[in-house]
Amino acid sequence: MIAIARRKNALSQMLQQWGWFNLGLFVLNRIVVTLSRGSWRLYRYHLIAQPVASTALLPSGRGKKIEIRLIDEQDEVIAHFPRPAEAIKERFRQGAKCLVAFKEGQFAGFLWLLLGSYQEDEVRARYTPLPRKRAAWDFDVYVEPDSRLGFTFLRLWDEANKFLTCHGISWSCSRISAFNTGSLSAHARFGTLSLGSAIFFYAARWPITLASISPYLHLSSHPGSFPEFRLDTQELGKI
Amino acid sequence: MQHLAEVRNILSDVLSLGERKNQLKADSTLLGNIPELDSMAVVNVITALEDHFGITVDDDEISAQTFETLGSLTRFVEQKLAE
Repeated sequence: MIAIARRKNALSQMLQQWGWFNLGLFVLNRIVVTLSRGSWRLYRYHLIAQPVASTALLPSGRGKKIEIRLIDEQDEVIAHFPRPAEAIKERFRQGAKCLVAFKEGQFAGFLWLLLGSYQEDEVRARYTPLPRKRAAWDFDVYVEPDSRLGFTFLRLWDEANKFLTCHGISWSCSRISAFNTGSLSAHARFGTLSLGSAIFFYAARWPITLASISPYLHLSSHPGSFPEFRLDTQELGKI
Repeated sequence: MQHLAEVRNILSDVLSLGERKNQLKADSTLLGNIPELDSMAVVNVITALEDHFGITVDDDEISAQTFETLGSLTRFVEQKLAE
């Protein structure tokens, strides 16, 4: 009885946070994953842009014990990343920059930035933030479980904003899973604006993409075939 | 815990809990139960507690244990007041 009540409570919380549409997709994904034994999947991403903050997110004096370092692909700390080595290698190959947080010398988290187009590693898609020298792409912000309540997340973002400002970037675009409530609410606090959304349905070897922005519909027949989302931030913030 | 109501009010104001404030008891779980309480909100809660009670909280004192329940957060504030 307690288990049923807990499940009911969790579902009602998800409904409140996600709405009927996303909850329906989440349940549908669970069903297709189970029935296909993991070979069919469904993703829904929100494509967003956030203004690069010119002021620090952390009050002065906070988070000073957290060191942030821009690393290269030879850095030994990569061995602590909870990501496949191949994925990390591919990110550096694309020219991505990785900011790493250290707390008392220990790995505490990372944040990735890319001043250009990003080839997604979870689904077949490419994102191009525009205008090219004024917009960037941020992805995969990770904080170690022990540091999640502390200031690591905000220290990483403060350093990311400094880096982006130094490169003349005004907007940072990214994609967030519609099922990731924590990430959605964190980004909402940064003043994010929605640029659109996309659903990726992986049925066997034929991924289908349905999006609210161009190219709207895409059927991928091989890994080299993917939709490109051109995320224009030119007019944002002018309204 | 004589400061429970004050801590509850601060938490509710900072996180804009509205009606949910009335459901918060000493043993109410905060982390994982209040979606608004993320790392960004924690900064605001700590700042509000410092301002209200005139205490100083060091970075190292902020832990998941402190924010586990309303009671543990209140006990933490009361320990700081007793220092």
